[in-house]
Amino acid sequence: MSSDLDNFVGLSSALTGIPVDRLAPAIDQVGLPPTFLAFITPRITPAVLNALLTQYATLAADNVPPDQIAQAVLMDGSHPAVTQAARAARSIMKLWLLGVWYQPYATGNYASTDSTVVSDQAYIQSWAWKIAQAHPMGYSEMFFGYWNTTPPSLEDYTGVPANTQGASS
Amino acid sequence: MSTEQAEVIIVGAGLAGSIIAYQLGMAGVDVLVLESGPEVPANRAQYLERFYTATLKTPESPYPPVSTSDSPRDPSKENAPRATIADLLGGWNKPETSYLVQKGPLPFNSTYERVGGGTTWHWVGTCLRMLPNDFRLKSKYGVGVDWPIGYDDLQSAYCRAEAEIGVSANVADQAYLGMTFPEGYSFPMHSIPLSLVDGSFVAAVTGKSFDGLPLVVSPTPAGRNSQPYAGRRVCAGNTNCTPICPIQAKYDATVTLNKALATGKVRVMYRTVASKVTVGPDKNINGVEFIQYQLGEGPKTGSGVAIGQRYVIAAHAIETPKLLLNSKTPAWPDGVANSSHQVGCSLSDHPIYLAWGLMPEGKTVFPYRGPVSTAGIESLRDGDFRSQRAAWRIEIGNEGWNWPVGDPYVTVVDFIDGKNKSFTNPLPSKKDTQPTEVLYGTALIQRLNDLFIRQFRIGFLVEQVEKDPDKAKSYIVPSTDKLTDGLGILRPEIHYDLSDYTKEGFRQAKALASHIIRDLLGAEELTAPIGEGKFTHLKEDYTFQGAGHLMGTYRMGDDPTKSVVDKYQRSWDHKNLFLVGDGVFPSTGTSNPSLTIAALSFQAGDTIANDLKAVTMQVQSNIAWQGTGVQVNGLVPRLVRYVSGLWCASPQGGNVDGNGGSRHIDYSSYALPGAAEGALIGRVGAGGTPFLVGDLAQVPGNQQGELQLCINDDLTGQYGSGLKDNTGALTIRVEFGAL
Repeated sequence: MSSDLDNFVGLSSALTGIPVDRLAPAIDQVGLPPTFLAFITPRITPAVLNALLTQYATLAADNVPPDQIAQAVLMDGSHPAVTQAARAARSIMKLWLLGVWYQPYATGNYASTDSTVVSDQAYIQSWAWKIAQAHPMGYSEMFFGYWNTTPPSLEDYTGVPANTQGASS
Repeated sequence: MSTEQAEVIIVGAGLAGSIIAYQLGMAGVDVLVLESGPEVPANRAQYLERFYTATLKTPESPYPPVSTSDSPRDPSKENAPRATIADLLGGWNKPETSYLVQKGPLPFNSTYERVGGGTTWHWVGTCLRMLPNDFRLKSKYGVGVDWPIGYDDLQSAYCRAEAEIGVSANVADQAYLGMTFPEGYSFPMHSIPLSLVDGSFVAAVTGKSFDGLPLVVSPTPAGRNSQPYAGRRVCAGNTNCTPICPIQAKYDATVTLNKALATGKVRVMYRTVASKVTVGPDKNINGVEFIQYQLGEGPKTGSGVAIGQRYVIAAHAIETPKLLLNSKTPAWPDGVANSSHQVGCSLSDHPIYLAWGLMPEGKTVFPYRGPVSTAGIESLRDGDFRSQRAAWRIEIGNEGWNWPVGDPYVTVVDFIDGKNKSFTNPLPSKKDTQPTEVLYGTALIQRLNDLFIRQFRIGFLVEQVEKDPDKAKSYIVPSTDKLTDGLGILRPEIHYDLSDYTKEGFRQAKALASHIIRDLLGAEELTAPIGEGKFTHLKEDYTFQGAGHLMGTYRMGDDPTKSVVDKYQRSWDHKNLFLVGDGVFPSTGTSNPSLTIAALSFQAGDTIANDLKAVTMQVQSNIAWQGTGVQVNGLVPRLVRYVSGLWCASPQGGNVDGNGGSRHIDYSSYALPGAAEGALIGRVGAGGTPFLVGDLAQVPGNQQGELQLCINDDLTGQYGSGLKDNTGALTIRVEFGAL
């Protein structure tokens, strides 16, 4: 039986396309998944969170492919679903990609206009920069002159191969 | 009320103030620096953390006081507020949230910092020199104002500035449009490699021209380490020069400020806001009044007056005139240093025309990597067109669409939510065939990747020239609505407009931007109006951005009725007052101003040090090596100048000055064999290698010891009477400065 954390990571992976073992590495020196889960629980409400995780767990148990799980969570036909769960799921995607929590709807003391960088590590580890085959602005682990050469592939950065029309590397 | 004393009082611990403090400290002058903002932190971790966790990552985001868009500030409660991007986003003309009280008609959209180290905390590091023709805009092209100095007058100061900042560049790349360098000169460090974005521009524009002038991409000289330098690390390409370099591979003025403090002669008082400059009956400045605080919005905690022999206001083009004009008294009804009525006038920026695009499919440039900018197109900074329209330089950005669009954030949100703020969902070229998409999973990653790795932007830094420079439309005065900061000091009121000459520069910039993006790069242009800086010119709409280059409100000149300071940056009205920084620029050229600020600061430092510590003495003709009492080291360049007098080394040679006579005698017993007999000769230390002084020379910087001087003659009497028959003496001055 999977924990909420496992389901949260699995759901996050289905939504973002980034493999589970990249979002939550076996040896995780940063530990964003529990931080994110704890951060969002009051902000989307435990009820919405549970609904999302249950939906994910049920579909995953039936071996539904990740893209179809994401579609079931996010979409209403060809349009973005407007349910709280779908809006929460889109905020979870942005959280992983940008490190920023965009409050999806008003609840409790949280206003729908709130946006917060969850932590310095949430920014530093955010995936948009890896998707750009780059690094967060202000956090480079590269060496002098690297910008003069082609970066490693998108797959190296994210585990997702580039679209065939896309990157040349 | 406390009284603080030093030989020199400096207001502002930024680039100019720090360089002058350091120069004076090295010259043995006691210096007190008054800095309105907080001290330099022991390390930059706290500033960096604030940047990482800021939702609004503006240039000011790491620095105090905190500026965010969700909780606007009340500048009337803040003790040392400054202009911020958050202010502009909140409404540029709303003084309830904007520190600058903006009266328009256009917004002034540049910002600055008030902290130890000043705005160099968030500069990009561009270290371009000004072009020779930038100094003679009026005489050459009939517009703007000439400088009272030329390129050659700044040559050695530019070299000193490049050494202090630590500039990475190659001379061969920088010797264009008349710029020259001393023979054998090399920059402190080799050039920084071009980015892949730059490379695509090199391939696209090389061999092409615009308006009859060639398009040439040049590596940008940068105050950014390409090698370990001055104990600081090599650039690791954090793509974050603005707002904050995480590793201080980019120079900032805290480097020089720390060296100033290490001289033991310089003291800084932080959170100490200069509020008034006072004038004595002899027209000299006799004090700078200040107010102190501890907390950014806390109560006043003290006040006092700083008293010195010389005063330096180094608070840039907005805070300096604010202070001078806030210092009005019945005796000085126009404010301090303002008999010309030019204080506060001709406020300039390099208003920026920003353009951006997406490389064709399959053509990648991989932005968001490397320093924020590593190259530009500089070949159009000068030409005959300057009689008609403003010049510009083109900065090529390495940070994708971070500036124009706010990426990666905006595009990510667009594809998750099914919106199109980035104009990439769909692209303009596909808007008839492709709907706005909502993506998730690997398709989202692949689409974002495909867009991000093709993004680029260019910025045209346009020279801002007033139509009538003596009746400027852009200026700063203390708030006429009596709006104050938390200390009760009248805030800066900004009036800002662009002339048709400047606007025509934008029109040409737009034409070239589209030509480069569409025709030469074959890219899709996505340039769109952004921000509140808007104007219409010849029926076309333009938007402009701020460059953060605050220039021109207390210009230097030859005419005391039309300029505020002389070419030494000394006030025409008060001989012991110096106004420094880019407020002295009579015209702005197109180069980012910091390097020129630094060069001029070295010159001002020399002038003040000479006022206080130059040694005037007599050198006798009948005594061999005479000590000057001046200890020389390689860090402080010194000059020896012949002032007056004649001496005689031999009846045949007759009476001569420091250059000596026409006889050149190669006897080994002469002070400098082979030099003119009777010439003034120097050496550093008793064992130093003699060098010719003549009427003016710079003391060699590679030796340490006491400077000694001597007549060039047969010192030991080996070939005749030696020094015994010599007569006369020369008056000389040992100064601070470089040739």
